[in-house]
Amino acid sequence: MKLVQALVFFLVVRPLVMIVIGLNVRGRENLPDYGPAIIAANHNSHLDTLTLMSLWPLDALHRIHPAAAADYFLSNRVLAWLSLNIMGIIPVDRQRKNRESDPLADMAKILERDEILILFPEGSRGEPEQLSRFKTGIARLAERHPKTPIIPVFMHGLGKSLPRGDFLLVPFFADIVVGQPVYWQGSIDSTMEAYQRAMNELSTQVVVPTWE
Amino acid sequence: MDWFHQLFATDPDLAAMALLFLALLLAVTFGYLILRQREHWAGLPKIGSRIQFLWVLTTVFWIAILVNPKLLILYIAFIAFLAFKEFLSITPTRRADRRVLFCAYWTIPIQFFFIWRDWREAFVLFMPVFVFLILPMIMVVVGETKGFLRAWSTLGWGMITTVFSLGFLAYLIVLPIGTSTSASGGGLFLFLVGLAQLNHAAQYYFGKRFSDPRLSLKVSATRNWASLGGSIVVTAPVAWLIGPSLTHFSAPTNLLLGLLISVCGFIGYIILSSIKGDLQLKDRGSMTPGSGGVLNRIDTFVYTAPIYFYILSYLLGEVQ
Repeated sequence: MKLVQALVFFLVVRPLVMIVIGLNVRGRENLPDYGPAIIAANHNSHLDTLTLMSLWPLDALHRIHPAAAADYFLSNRVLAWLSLNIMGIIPVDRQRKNRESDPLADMAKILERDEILILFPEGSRGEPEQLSRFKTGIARLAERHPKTPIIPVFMHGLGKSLPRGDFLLVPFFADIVVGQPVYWQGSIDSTMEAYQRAMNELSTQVVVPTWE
Repeated sequence: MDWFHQLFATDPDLAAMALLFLALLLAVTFGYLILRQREHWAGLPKIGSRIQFLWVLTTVFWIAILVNPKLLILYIAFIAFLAFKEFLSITPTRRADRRVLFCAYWTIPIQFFFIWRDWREAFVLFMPVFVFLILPMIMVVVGETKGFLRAWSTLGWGMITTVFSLGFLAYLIVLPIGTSTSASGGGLFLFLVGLAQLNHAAQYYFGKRFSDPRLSLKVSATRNWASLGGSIVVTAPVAWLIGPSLTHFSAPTNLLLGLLISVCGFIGYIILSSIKGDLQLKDRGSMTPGSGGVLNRIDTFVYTAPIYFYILSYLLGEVQ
């Protein structure tokens, strides 16, 4: 257990997430405390990662690692320190200058260490509160680790509280629905299809008032 | 235990009543726990969350009367924040209005600051006059004109039903009490909240017991005209019974207050019910954002608190 990380979550992140924003979580029991596991959620807001991470008990936090874009999260020293030490991110090189390198190697290592990886298969936050096309990284990881569960998580509301390109936090309750695990289905396409189906099913459990 | 002795010395009636309510809540909680062991009834989780809410309220109330009554103002301000947030989360909003909603949240600390300082004029005028002047203006300037009427009506209604109404509940704590009555803000608060809870339970019971179609209302499956009648029959006599220790008004006045709490509680329930029905949240239960939460707990105060407050200030003014 990393003390600084636990303290920051206890004193700053949790009060922010639980009181200012307010969560309505269903299926929390589907989140494992130990890996290997891939948590695959939709991405609407900067708050997504911290909110997801606040669902785990403090002593499990050091096992949780969100994959995050290196060009953004390591762009300056302060942000890099916070990203690496508080959020425990796995930096992902989006540009891939070195063609020979394996983009999934660092993430695979997390799974080999029996830890938990948070991925946002949409890639970037995109238009708030709208699902964009999923990238196939989760299926490629599952291909290498077929026994690893992919846990679909549908979130709604955080994109309203803090959408892309805005700095003003306006509190709205957020819904989080955690689904049953999806496993490697034998091919990249069928695995992505199974994940897509699970996400669609979860999204129907949330009432979404219009917001445009 | 010093604080406790002090409370008994300064306001023995309030202390006795607060103990009585605590004992009642304990009894209800035990009853609920036993029921939960034996039966699997669909309504139980709802009752459980209400009991949980009452325990928090009771704890805050006790700390407040023992330490500083004004703590209740902070607590109610917090509930107002949660209720307003829940309202915004379940109603349609426009992305263009983010800045307006941000400002709308800031009316809560301002409004409750006026209450804390007992600035009655400012408290009464701030919401319906200043906020209704300034927020629509901000909405027009930074927002969009398309859908303006709907957006502003929803927001204004939300602020009035949550922040403004609950303010009246908080104001009971600082209401100036005349010399010829020994009622305290805590007593007036306990009278209202206790009766409102009793009234809620009575409405539920009578609605279930007499579910005649001729008595039914379009808006709710569990509330009908029998709920209203039955709850008046229960609440008014209890008001008459406990009034002497809490409000120190005359018997007819206490009866009138009991009647009022009953009728206004009913109106608050059915109106918030029809809002939830309109938003199609009713059959989705706990699947809705933050629903089953705060708005369900405060519906009984939306109309009761302001009207109770005005009758009290009239009565107390006259007594002085």
